Amino acid sequence: MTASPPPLSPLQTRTALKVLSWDGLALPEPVTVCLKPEPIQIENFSVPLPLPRVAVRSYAFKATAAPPPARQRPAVASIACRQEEGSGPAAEAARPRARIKPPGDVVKLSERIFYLLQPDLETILETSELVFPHDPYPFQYEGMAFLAPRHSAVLADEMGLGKSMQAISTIRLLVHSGEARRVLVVCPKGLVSNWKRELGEWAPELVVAAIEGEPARRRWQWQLEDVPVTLANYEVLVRDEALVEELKLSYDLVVLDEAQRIKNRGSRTSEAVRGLRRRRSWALTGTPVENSAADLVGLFEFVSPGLIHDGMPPRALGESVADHVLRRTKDKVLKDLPPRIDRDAIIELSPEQRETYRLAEEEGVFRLSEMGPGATIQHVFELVLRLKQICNFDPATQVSSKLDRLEAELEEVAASGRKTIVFSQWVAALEKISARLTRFGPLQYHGGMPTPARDEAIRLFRERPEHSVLLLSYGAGAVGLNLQFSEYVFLFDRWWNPAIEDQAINRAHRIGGTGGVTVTRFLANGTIEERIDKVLAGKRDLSEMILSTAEGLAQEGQRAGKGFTQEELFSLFNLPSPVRRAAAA
Amino acid sequence: MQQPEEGRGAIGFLTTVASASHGVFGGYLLVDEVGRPLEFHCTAPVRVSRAQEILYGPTLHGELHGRRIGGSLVAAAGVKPRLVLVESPQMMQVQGETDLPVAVVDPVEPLRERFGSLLPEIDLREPFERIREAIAEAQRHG
Repeated sequence: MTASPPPLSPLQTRTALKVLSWDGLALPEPVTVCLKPEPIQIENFSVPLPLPRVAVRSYAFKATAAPPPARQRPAVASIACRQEEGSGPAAEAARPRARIKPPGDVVKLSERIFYLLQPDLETILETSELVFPHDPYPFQYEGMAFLAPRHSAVLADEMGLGKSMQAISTIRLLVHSGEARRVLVVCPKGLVSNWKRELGEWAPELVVAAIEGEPARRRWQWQLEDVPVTLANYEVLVRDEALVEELKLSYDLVVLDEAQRIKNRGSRTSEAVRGLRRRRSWALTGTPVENSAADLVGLFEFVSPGLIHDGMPPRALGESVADHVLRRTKDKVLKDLPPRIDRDAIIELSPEQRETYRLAEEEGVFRLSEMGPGATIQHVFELVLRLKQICNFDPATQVSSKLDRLEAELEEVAASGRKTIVFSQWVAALEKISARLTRFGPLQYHGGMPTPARDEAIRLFRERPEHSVLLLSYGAGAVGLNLQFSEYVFLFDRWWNPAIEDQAINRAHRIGGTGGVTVTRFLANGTIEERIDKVLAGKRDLSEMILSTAEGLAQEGQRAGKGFTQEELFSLFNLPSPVRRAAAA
Repeated sequence: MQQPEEGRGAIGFLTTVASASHGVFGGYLLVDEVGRPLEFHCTAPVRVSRAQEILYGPTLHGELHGRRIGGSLVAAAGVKPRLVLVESPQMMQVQGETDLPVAVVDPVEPLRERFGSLLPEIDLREPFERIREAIAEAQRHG
């Protein structure tokens, strides 16, 4: 072989050597062969067998009060949709539960972890001693979970979704956990009685002081101690601004209802609420942005001063407030909501109305008693009508608590571009309502109008956004009209027969429709209206009531007779009916 | 560490969370009988080397997660729970580090039969989710 083989690696060398030695044939060129094995290097490969030390970080939480034995969940509110859409323990277990999450502005890790380690809100409530009159909807639990940890929050749910109930329940949680000791709720004058009522219903154990009356009385009320919730209307707050400052009042939480009132930063109202000393600021409004981004800036001057400012691009504005605003519309939570929400708005009469009402009732009952067996159903009926009219408007001053309330609620509805229909028994009442609500472009529809005018009213209401309210009389508007684009119905006064009311409501309520309808029935507290309502509620399910409506609309007195028996009418005033008196004789 | 005090009806939930980039975190949540948090302890991430992985072999999980991490966490607690619940059988090795009763949460039914009234009427798997969220939050904050 002339060609030399390629150099071998040490291993190959050993192999080659072995092979060459074996056959003993031609030896190659001499190679360097290391016959002596390389010394084995024992590396000092030290494995730290003990596993690394573990550093532990600990968080201890404030001891909670001894929990009472777990209570049964309260009965689910009797709302058809909720029951239809999968009820029972399985559905209940499958439903995602609301958790309190740390807000973005909580930066301390221990605080963020504290929130994350809490059980879901429903469990917290179920295992507390707090009993709720109704089981809140899932979105309402989420609303409470949103509010609870926040110092700056805007709950911007659409009207009718229970903003006040969510705020009250969260206030209750904060008071019971010791996170809030003094809370101030500010609302429009027309909603003070409603807040009192809702606080009584959803937080019955919380003492509430409503600021009202003469200056000396108000001074005393502002200074009351050990009162967790103080309730004031915007006008009173503006009037007492200097007093609040003088007394150096400060609050753990200030809640503004219908907070769109403070959108104008230059207004006295806005200045008064911004001057309040407070740790937490919550705003409740269905229309956080009514006309422009400036509305939101105005709102946040109270909620979180300096967070946003004029001239910010919309995207930046949205990003800045995202963690502070929660808005749900009926469409979004429809799976939780029935297609129709009914709510009774209990109205406290103004002092003027109350006094007029008292005198009229006392005088009327006295006259009926004086008439003895000569008193007829017509006499009683006339008294009822008279009292109902006073519940609507004080005849001397035209003061109306119902109209105050309606106006407050319409502000929100109209601002959100929704349509509202309002029913009353009297055309005169519709006229008065119309005169007060001119800024909502009210239209009327009643029997006193010629047909072309009525048709035109419906057309304008349907097509023109500036007309957000339609005022109807029960007689003319209860049947035959299709107003299903309206999402809010107000019954300014009550009809005699619930089936007629249902017909009126069904002008807007679409069975199987995609949107919900909110029906609000006004009831003057402690008046004939409440007594009538009790009788009607008892009769609502009776088939004779339903059948009676089929007989059509006749004269008012006759219609009343269909809903109420003679005995029932007399019993409204604790008077025996003539039939009973005759039998007794 | 101070002597743990008897926690009325307290239950401990002990678990670990492995992170590819950081290592293994441990979390121990003590809740009262209605699920509200009393204490929370978590570890800094623990890393093991490849060599340790090889040498410990299949015993690594029990040794690291159960004995080392779990043991450190249980020892750090100020409240003494009725029972410590873990998610995996390997974590049971924490038993070597404590005299508290330890049980695997899954399946729940036999557990409820065994411990009866010692266990609160809450979803026994849910608190582990809270631990994971808290650890993730701690991780985000460094």
